[in-house]
Amino acid sequence: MPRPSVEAERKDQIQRATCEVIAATGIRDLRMTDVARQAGVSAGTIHYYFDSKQALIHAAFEYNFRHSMQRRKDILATGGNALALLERVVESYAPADAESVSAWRVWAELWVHGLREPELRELNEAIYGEWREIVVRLVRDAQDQGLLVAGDAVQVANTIVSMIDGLAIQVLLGSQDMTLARMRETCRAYLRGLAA
Amino acid sequence: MTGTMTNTVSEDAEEAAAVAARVRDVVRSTGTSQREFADRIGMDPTALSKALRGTRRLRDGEIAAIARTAKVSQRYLRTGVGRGPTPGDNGRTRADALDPDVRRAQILDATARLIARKGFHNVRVADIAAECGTSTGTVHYHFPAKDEALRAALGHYADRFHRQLDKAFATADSTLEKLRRLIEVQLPATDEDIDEWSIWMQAWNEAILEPAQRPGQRVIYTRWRQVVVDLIRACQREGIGAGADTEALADRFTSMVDGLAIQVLVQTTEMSVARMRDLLLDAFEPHISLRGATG
Repeated sequence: MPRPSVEAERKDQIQRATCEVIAATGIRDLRMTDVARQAGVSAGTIHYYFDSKQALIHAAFEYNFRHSMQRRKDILATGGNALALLERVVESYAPADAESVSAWRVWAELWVHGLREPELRELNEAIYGEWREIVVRLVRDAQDQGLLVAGDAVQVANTIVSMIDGLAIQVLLGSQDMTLARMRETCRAYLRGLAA
Repeated sequence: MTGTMTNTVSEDAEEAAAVAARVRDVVRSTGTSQREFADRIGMDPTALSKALRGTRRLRDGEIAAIARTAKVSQRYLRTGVGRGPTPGDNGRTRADALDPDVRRAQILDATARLIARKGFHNVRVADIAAECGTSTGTVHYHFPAKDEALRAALGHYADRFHRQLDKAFATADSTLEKLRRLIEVQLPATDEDIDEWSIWMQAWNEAILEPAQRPGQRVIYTRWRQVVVDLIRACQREGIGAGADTEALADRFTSMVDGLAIQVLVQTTEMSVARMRDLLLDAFEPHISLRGATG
């Protein structure tokens, strides 16, 4: 049996590789051998940690979310001006670099496969809830600090989250109408409109 | 035995499912969409959709209205015996000698529905042929490659969307009312709307993974976005939201529609059709307000 720290590290490595393969080819073409090659481990090692392809995909989606939260932890830990934090968190979701583009492709796959797989819908439900809760908290803090006008924080959060998802899809599709700069400006314009 | 009660309940459920299946066929035989049919019988489209899926029981008055409008007997809807839909109405019973245009439309319709429900990669040409009661050769003749079928399905739903929009706009008495109706038409309320959104979501992913498919996507998105831009401009010409950034408002609205529809489609508890409508009614605030009775 590998030591616990090695286990955790190995699992991370496999989940990260799975996300990379999903981002490149989608779930439908995902093969365990591709994941093994990407992770630099044997297929046997993957089977040791994950019972099935289904379990591996599920774990990879969770990893994608945890990892995206990890990337924002530093921003959220800063404290202080909640509106500035909110702007930075929103900004950090622009698919501006390879890592972020890859994460977005994995989200898009989760949604599409969630159309037919109840287990993935449950996972999305948990992830969406947690992410939305973070935005709700920032909106409330910004309202309490007198930086945003008082109002329904949940409504504002739902607006922001849906806006980011819809904008990111168009950026990923390379729409002429939706560039990274426009995505940023659309989000900023919305928050500016709510500024107290 | 515990059987008596259990049997009654499950027989009841089976009977309800059989009624739902007959009503579904009858609605299809009229050649109208679920939404149009709901309009004709004065029923809420979401309620009809639920009834057709078997998650809501039809009331007596509703069965009577359906029977009247589709020209079948109520007894047929309830029991399967009596005057049913005219054979051939839905084009599926006459497998041979179909006019090529009719056949093409039928294949397109079946393909779009199958892709929406089973997923693009799970639909085989044989499934399409079976659904249309024809041969795989005939399907291949009309759509040599499956990619073409997906593209055609996209076009099919884009046309459906703009047709619905034109119809909804035709009777709107103000620009604000048009914006409200734009929201209504986009809500994933009926089974057909849900199919449409399922196709959009799948098409995004295909195009994200396969850049060659992106131009087709862009055309559809640009056409839709233009509808929104034109309506906002029309409002502004009327002095509503005159100072606002038109493009930013259009982008806010279109992105919200997509983002919200995704969560409705994956059945997130937090997000329902009603909640989506509610959020979209506020999407143009504080520049353009869609609340209030008149435009």
